[in-house]
Amino acid sequence: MTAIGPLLFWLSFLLGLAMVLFDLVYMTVPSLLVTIFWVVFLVSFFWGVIKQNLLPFFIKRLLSSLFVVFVIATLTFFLLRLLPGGPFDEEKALPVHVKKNIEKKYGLDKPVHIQYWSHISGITQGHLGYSYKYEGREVSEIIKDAFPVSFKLGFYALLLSFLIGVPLGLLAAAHHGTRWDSAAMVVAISGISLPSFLMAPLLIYIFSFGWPINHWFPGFYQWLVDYDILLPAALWHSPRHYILPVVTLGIRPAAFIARLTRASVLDVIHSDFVRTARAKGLSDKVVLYHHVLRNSLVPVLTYAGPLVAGILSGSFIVEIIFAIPGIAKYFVQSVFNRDYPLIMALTLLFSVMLILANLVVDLLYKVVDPRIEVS
Amino acid sequence: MKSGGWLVEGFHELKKNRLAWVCLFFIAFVCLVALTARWISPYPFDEQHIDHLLEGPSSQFWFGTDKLGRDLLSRIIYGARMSMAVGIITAVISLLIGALYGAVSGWFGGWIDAVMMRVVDIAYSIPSLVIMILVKVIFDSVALFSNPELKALTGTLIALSIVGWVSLARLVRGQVLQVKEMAYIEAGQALGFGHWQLLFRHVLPNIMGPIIVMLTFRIPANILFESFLSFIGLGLQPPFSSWGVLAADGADLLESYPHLILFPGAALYLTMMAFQLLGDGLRDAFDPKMRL
Repeated sequence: MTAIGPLLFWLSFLLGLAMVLFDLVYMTVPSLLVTIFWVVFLVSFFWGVIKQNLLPFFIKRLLSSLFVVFVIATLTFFLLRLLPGGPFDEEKALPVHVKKNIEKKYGLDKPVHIQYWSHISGITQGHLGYSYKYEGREVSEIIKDAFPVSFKLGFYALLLSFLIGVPLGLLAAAHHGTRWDSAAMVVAISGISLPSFLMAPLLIYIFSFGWPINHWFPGFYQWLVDYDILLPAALWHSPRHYILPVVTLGIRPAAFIARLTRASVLDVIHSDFVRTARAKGLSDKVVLYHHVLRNSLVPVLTYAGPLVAGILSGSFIVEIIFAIPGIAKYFVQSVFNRDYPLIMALTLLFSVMLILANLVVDLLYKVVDPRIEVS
Repeated sequence: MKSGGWLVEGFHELKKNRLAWVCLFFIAFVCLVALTARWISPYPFDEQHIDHLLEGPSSQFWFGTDKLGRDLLSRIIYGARMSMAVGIITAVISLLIGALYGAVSGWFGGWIDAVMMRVVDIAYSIPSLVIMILVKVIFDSVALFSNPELKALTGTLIALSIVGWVSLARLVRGQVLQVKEMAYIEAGQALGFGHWQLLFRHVLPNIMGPIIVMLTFRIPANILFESFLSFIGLGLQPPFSSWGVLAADGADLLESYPHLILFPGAALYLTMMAFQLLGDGLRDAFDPKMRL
């Protein structure tokens, strides 16, 4: 009976892995698999929440999150009215009656408090309105198209950052004070210092344009081009297109995680229970992987909240540089276009993702280490 | 405790860290270049040399020229001015707001703390780039400064200051909560010192270490955010340029003229790295507990 929780967790983990594989091979995931995954995942999630007596905490946080979302919706609404210029100010001024008609169509002629009310009640009913710029398209439709792309980009970057960051930090800590340690930390510092808009051109220059091979070995370069080995520098058509954007987005968080992991491992290595484990005669490897790693990953988890925020911001640059049709690109365009409904909806979407990420991290944190009081 | 003792002690600690010193000198050098841009730059930053468009590095133009024939070295020197100004000014403003906010919240506690921290929670839930873009666009049309350089920066300065104070407020509040319980504060209370006297004369000076460390990390973060905005096309208005603007211009012509992104990129990268390493050094020196 007690094993059901972990069993479900590992099952959802495997299903998630299957989804990733499907996506990497076919670029699409069967909807049945997605449904099963969500069912299993949610059941195992709530199983854990109830089992750990976290349900009251969870409900409390959920309610306060709803309040936060409401405040953000209000704030954005009024911020938008402060933006200079309206959505229908074209370079060539529209005839007054035409503009009046358009504004009437979108309810922009009504007093602000009525607009505000209809906006808030629209959100509660799940109706986000129509885009001003992309005529006839519902905002929810645009999100439905663009969000999966951004989500995939962010998810793979997150995955990559942990897959690189944790081993690198572990390597540095295990060889503390040696050349390995310094090398790993030099890599990490460089990764942190190189912003994504420099990282992307660098990667494109090397892996898409083939520098320096294109200068020195034209024959070999031609071969690379003929066999289509160089990576695409833009767009999002196939898993091959994923590589450069995901690396660009994931490398900075990876560097942060590496430093955090190293510090945390070094902290744990000097604690009493590790000394005890060593005194029992356990080998270094067992101590490192079984005792140290587990305990030192808890502080790394705290970073997951800011990490998601960082990846959200980073995706703006990455989506623009690589011309990826995700939501960040829409957001920037909608600000230029004063496309109020779209800006509102995307701001809310970004905030909800951040809030959810923080909530999940706090919950995980409590599950991993019940001693911690999360307020 | 002797006032200023921590400062002297911290700098003695820092002296042992050669790398941090090198970084400190590098940052001072960049600041000096930024301040003396008018005198040391070989050409005015907006002077066009029509018959020298998009040239590579040469003895006449050390870093080459851009698509309008402007000397890249001069533009980088003037770019340092903008980038450093944005980074330092916004970091200091957000420090003032954040420190005051966090100190009041932590010191008074109770419902004041609860309300103030709820506001911080909300601010934390909005992705900073989103709010920055909106605020930047709103305030760009507001004419607060008459100086043309500052005028071009108005929106960016306000946007970055609004975003930056939140994490500082959290940090300062946590520190104040710790210091509040110390015996010397209790002694001050017993002596009948007022709230503000205790807060400004006794609490804040004792938490300067972590604050300075945080400030050191805040500056490059803000330089980076400015570059982000510039890169999206929401940055400085031409003809002014920051390193972010230069990098964005260079990225457009990456395939044929890589020098256009190489030099401003290198300037940005080295400065980022210097701040990062200096911050690490300061943290080790001032605040051994916060090891990372």
